[in-house]
Amino acid sequence: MDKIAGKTMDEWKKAFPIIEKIIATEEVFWANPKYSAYDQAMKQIQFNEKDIRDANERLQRFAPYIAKAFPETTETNGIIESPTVPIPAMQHDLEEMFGQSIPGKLLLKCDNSLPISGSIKARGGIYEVLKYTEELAIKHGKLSTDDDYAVLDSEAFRKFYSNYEIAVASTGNLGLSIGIISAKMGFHVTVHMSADARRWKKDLLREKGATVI
Amino acid sequence: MAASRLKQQLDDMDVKVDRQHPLFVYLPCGVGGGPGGVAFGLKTIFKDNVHCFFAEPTHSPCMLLGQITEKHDEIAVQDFGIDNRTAADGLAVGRPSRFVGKTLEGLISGDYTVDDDKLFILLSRLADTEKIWLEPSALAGVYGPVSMLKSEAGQNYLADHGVEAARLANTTHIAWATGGSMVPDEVMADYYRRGVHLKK
Repeated sequence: MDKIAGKTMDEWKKAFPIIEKIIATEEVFWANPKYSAYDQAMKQIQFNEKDIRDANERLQRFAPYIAKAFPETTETNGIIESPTVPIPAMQHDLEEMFGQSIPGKLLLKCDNSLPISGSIKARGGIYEVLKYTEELAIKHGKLSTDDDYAVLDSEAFRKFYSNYEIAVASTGNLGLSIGIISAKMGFHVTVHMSADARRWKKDLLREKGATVI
Repeated sequence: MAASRLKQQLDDMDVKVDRQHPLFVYLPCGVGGGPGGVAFGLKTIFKDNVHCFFAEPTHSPCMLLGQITEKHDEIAVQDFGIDNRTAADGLAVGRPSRFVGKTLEGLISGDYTVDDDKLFILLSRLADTEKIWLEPSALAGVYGPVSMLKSEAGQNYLADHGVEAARLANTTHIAWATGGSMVPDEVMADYYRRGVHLKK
């Protein structure tokens, strides 16, 4: 019998009975037996607070550019963030629909309304492009971390970035986010999408100046 | 970053998070990078007072299988005969990230799955009740509190982690919406109609 990562299907089911339900595509809830106290869990992780600080500082440096290039972010001074809102009517509706009381308060983190690409991928996806953008400009002596990054929103910089190519393979929000920010900065950006990717995503990306394959 | 800004937002809303006021966060999960990063950030800020759960479609439970088997990217849902076909675009992932599954193995509280039909029903209900329009994937998070509270495994988790009735009443649940504002109106209208139809 074929093995899956060292065990047969039956062996997996026997070791973890929940797998039977998962295979039947039934809904399941699984509590992680390896979940541990924070301090203990963190011992296993190479965690560097400096990385988070660096990322924060980089996003601050880019804020003047973001505010200029994406006017919808002027209100937040170029910081890409979304609201968190209570959804009490939906909480009540869930309780009725599923016959299950939900004590406490239900909030929605509205990453659907994040500026630029309207999804959670406007966080990490855009960050990666900004990081690359900064490295390129600094390496070529066109930018220093003390500059006002609003200068990046200029013909001169777009021309500079047009010498470089960014490619991403994603049918979802990641492709949209990277495509939109990269095209805006001036890069040649190619988004590889599968045949069944939604038509509107391809259209939107082309409209923003990305190449969609 | 998302986490420190969320803390600020909660402070502004007078939402307390501490041992007596636990926070439960439900994050739709594809390959794991986005929700993994958010969960990690949340843990560094709220530590043991936040409980993070990944949400996946029943047809693409890659992170769940990766974590249960501890084989992470060595397995794909297709190996188990699951088709990886779901209307939840960004969550249609057959093989999870080892980096996320392994790094966060002690920090993620659990994982649950949601049926596609339910995503559409919740989509239409959220639009009706709150006038908020999300893509189908985003609704996976909204089902989180029900999935946890309705299941024996969820109830056991609460008991094991000192969240008994009194504290449960002080709980804040956050469903993390993935996207939706870029979806064209006519596509969203189709999603909505599908939800209304399924609800009947």
